[in-house]
Amino acid sequence: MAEHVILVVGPMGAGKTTAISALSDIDTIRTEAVNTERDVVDKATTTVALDYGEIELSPNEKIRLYGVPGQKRFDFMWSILKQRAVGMIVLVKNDAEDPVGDLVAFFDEFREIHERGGVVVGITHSDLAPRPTTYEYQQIVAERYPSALAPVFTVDPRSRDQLVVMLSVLAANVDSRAMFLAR
Amino acid sequence: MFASGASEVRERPDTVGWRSVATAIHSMRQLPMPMLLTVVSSDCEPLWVDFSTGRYYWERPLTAMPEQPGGVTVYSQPIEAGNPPYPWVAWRAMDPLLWQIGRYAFGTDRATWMRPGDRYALQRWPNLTEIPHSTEEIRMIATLANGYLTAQELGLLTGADEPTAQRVLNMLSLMGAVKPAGGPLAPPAVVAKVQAEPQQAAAASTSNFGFFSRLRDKMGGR
Ligand SMILES: Nc1nc2c(ncn2[C@@H]2O[C@H](COP(=O)(O)OP(=O)(O)O)[C@@H](O)[C@H]2O)c(=O)[nH]1
Ligand SMILES: [Mg+2]
Repeated sequence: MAEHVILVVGPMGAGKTTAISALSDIDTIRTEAVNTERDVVDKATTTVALDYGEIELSPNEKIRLYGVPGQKRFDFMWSILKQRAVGMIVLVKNDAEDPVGDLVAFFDEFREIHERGGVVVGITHSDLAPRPTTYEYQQIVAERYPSALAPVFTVDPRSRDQLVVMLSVLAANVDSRAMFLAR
Repeated sequence: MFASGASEVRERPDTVGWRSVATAIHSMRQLPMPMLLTVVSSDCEPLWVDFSTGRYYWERPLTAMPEQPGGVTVYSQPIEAGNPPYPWVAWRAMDPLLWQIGRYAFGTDRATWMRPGDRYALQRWPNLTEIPHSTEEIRMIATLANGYLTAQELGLLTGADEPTAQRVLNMLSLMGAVKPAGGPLAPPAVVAKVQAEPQQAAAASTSNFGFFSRLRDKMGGR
């Protein structure tokens, strides 16, 4: 069974859950982070917002999509997943307080995925906040990571067509990179 | 811009209009000062392109762009930085406009500013969620993201014919999304490998892009 692990990362509210449920063949498994009562009752339990979905490409080839929360305290989960990931979709919420800071933080954290496979950045909520523009984000990525040529697209995770474009570009990048490395 | 009766000009009557606009846009990109370009045509509303903010205004959706606009004249004027023109109109990001002009301007000929055999690599991804594109075009852009290629090599690696690859290079170049190699470069090793196996070249679109192809088959997309 061939598997392609793809992480969907981004801050809370960026659209990870929406994106994974739009793309997945199976009913997505999602857990939510906030369970106030439980937190009060049982301080030892820490819940985490996690999404999981699958796309079956053939009976023996599957994409596994993991939505990974942004909170730093869950980075033990990231480190397990990122070793196996061939690609990553970074969702940035454009109307957040510091969307550029969010992008940079996720890029730093998951750099090795970029170096190994494909990273695609999706700017969400650009209907509510048109700036920064994709062009501005690309300048920032190019300055900070000169070797990274990450695609930056505007995306509304409620649009399956736009998500398919992002995932397609990720896959094309993975294939293209493998083609140039093959000998 | 041209006398319409001149037979030399009429050799390519289908591309003259956008061709002159594309050439003007390309020159304007090389200028260090902010410029406003105005395109007037007998068939369409005036088109404004503001290079200081990378936006355009046209009272016409891009889906209604004529392939062969008649009687095109191009005007340019310097503008003040930090003081964008006509703030009351709804300006839009210019990538989709340039992508479409690049598609029509030269057909499958080489853009006037490109030279035969030059190698190009991607320097930024166009915002593909906002521009109409084909599966073949995604393959080509992703390929340019990993090496400097001529149009012929780009076609070879992606299973496209050379004129189609040239057209995509024209479109990306007009958008400033590809850069030429600084000097003579040897082709990437993968080119020689594919050339040595002609049967593989014919199937390059699926053999080099297996994961991508299976994903497109499953999820849809042209
Ligand atoms: N207006 C707008 N709403 C969005 C966009 N993307 C996501 N949403 C909404 O934002 C909310 C949070 O999305 P969700 O998928 O739960 O974010 P998550 O925390 O990353 O899982 C949902 O109500 C989405 O419908 C967008 O681009 N524009
Ligand atoms: Mg969620």
